[in-house]
Amino acid sequence: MADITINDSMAEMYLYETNSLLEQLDQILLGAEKSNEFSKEEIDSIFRIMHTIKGSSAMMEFSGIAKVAHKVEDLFSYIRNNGIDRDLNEDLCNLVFQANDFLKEEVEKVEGGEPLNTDIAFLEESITRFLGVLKGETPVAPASAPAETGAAPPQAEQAEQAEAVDPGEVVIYFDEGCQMENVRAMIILNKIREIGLRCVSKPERLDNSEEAVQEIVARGFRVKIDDHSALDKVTELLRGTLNIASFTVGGREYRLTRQREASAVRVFFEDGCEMENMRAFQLLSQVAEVYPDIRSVPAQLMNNEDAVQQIIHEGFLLVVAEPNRVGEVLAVVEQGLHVKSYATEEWEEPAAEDVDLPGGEDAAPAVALAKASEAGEPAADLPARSARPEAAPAQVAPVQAAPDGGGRVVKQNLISVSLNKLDALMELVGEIVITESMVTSSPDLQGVELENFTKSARQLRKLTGELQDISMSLRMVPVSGTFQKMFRIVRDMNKKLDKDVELILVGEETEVDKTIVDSIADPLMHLVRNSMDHGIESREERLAAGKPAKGKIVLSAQNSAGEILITVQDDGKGLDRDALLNKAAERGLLTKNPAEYSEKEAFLLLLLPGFSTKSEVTEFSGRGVGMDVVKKNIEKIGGAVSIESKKGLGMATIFKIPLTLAIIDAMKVAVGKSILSIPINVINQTFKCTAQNVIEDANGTQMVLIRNECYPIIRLYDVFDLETQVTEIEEGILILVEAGGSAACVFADELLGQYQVVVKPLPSYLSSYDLRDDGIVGCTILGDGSISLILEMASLLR
Amino acid sequence: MNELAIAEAENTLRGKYLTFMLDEQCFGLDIEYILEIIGVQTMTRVPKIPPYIIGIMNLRGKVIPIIDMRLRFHKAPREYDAKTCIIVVEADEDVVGLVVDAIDEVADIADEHISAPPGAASDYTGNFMKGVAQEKGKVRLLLDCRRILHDA
Repeated sequence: MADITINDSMAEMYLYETNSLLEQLDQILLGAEKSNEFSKEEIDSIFRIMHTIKGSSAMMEFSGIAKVAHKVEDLFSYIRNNGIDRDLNEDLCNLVFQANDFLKEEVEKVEGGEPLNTDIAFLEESITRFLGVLKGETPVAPASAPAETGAAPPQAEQAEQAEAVDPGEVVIYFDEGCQMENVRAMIILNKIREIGLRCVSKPERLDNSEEAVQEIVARGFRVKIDDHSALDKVTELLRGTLNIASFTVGGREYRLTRQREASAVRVFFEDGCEMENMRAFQLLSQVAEVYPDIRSVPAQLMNNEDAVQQIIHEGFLLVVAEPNRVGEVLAVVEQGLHVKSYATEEWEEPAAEDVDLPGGEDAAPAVALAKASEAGEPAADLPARSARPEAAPAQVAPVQAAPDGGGRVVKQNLISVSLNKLDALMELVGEIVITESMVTSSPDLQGVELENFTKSARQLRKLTGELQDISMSLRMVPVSGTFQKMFRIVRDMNKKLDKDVELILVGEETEVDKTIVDSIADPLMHLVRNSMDHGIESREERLAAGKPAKGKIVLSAQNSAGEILITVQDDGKGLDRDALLNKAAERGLLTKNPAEYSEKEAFLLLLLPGFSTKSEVTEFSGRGVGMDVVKKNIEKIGGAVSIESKKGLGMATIFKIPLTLAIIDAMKVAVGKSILSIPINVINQTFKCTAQNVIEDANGTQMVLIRNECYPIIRLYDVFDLETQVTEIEEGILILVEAGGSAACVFADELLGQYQVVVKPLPSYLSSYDLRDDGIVGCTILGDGSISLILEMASLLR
Repeated sequence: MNELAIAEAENTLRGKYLTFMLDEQCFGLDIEYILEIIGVQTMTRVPKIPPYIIGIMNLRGKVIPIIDMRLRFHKAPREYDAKTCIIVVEADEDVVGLVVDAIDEVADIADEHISAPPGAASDYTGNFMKGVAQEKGKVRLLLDCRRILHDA
């Protein structure tokens, strides 16, 4: 066993971060695969993800994970610089999926405290080989590649060039026609030496040498630096140096496309906020307080209708002559009224011609690592002046570049909180809710007129209600994360089974309790697999049946009256009642004559343990976890599973889950001295009954007839072995409950009313007794401090 | 309610035992397991669990199971009286209340006074014993808290 303690907060953070990154990676890959293209952003994101994972894994000393991440990072660093052939996209996808799977597995192992896989040679080799293919080397000779790739990575950000590049080499190109290149080169050389680095330059002789100037202009000024770890500093230094058009460090190129050092902040105001020019003016004067030299585009703001239009469409530009003071300006802009978004960009002084203002679409400055040009004459294809921010270096990082291009700035307003704390909060709030009702409906107050007290009590009730709502909403997360994971499953199975199935998500923004989201993941996965494997037919069969070749799985979530409905629906062949019954009969699962089974009942057979409609075990389904596990998982969170199907048209599995688990509405019933709570959502009606209405069948089971339906009677005192005087059917009360597809009448002494109860789990000490199977899900503390058991009807009815 | 605060510094706990009476016998529990001692309160019976777990109780918002030690040791049950106490113990993250006839004292028992439990115990309590302390003519049976909670 690896010596990992996961309760360690660092490890927790690591797992959280890595898992979400890997999920993100899945999304990107699926997107890229769909469009059969890796966009620049996608490549950048993958690179960043891998970089982060590499770094944090190395810190946690998970060297296998770090190595693989490193390999993929290398690969993408190459692709980022050199692009990728369209034909190779698919291979790349598969390769990265493979790496992703490996990483996921490993992270899962970390979570489980299992020893990590150290044998990553296979994966490493396939990445290396792929890199070789990319570079145009023969794929059959992977042996030559490792040496090359192995040499490059001392600097994580270091890019590999097509040919081997000395990582310590810096090549600098000056602005065209800036004159005195040799002197400038010397200044740079001196600066580098000043920060304590040893270096050799080419050309070596710089002073008074026309040849040197020529060489620098033609081939760039080359500096070789021994200490590779200090390259960042050099990069920083060069960025701050005047008249440099571009430079490469260890093969990565940076282009500085400005003629003058300046930055600009592009501000967009809220849509329809009116009087944009006034607002711009106001902002300008606010900024001027901290930075008097501020200029703006448009410059003329007052009484200028054109300015309004320009500000609306292109944004209001604040030009900061000294880039190091952009921060101060940003601080003001951030506080500005009606500011919808802002982003910083390089500002270049307009020459004689009009400024080519990029539209809003381009305004979000891209993470600006210029694409490395072909080796040879990088300066030549550099446009003399480019206003496009894409080519600008990331001197001032964008606050956030929104993918929709709107440049909307979203401030980091999220924090991650441990679920335990939320649980504790929830519990406390639950106590407060109960205490509040204890106080305000205290028997001591009966019959006393207290005007002020009543007023305050009403206010208190309102506030506690709000408190409860808010603390509950804290635990709510959208189901989209879980839903999105299914894309991957559909994709993989499409490939393996040669099917063409599309996954459609509906209502993925629906929010449910975190515990529920976690618990539906596995059941959903199982259902989607089932649909892919057994539900949806092969292309030929579909066409023969007159259906489109492309199958469809719809995953939907919706809120309805305190419950969430999650549906997995496919348009496959559906369920066959007779086939189900035959199968069930084979397995001895039938409890009555097959002819008596309704279609609905037949479908429910699917949920029984030991039932599997497909006899052979495939890779994806039928691994022993059947629908009964799905059912169990859903019931564990208080939900119910139902199945609908039309033969030939498909089937739908529906989960009906309470929105939150912590607080429920319950009916309190008395049985002898005990008070039991029945969740209100399973109760259909309550009624008194006379002995004549009770029928007894051959086994002695008592039933009651309501609206021509027979319901068995469950006597709580009997089931739970409680002492009570009320055993005659006339004396007590019957509660018709419906859960888990069956219904029955529960017999209790009397009803005590409906209450909100905070569900507390039973002490863990009792967990070995499987009380849930006996119909007890938890308990709650009543107003007088005593405890009431909460019944779970689904298992009680079984 | 005789609530005793026994949580002292860790190192002073060694060799200290909380002793209590059960059916005329004196038992001892290692003090490190003990959280507090409370009087008998209303309990809620839970069906379908062993009879010695007589129910669950609300201990300041925390729901804890209660074991009647007489039933646990297969002794005859007895009406609870003013001296009946619940010792709240914690072992392996389980918090459980143990109903005993009466609390005796907190005793220092040196290791040399403790001998191994007799191989074949005369009654059912033998299963839960981890030692016998004999001192100044007093015999105290030291119990293994974990086994009380978890052994069948």
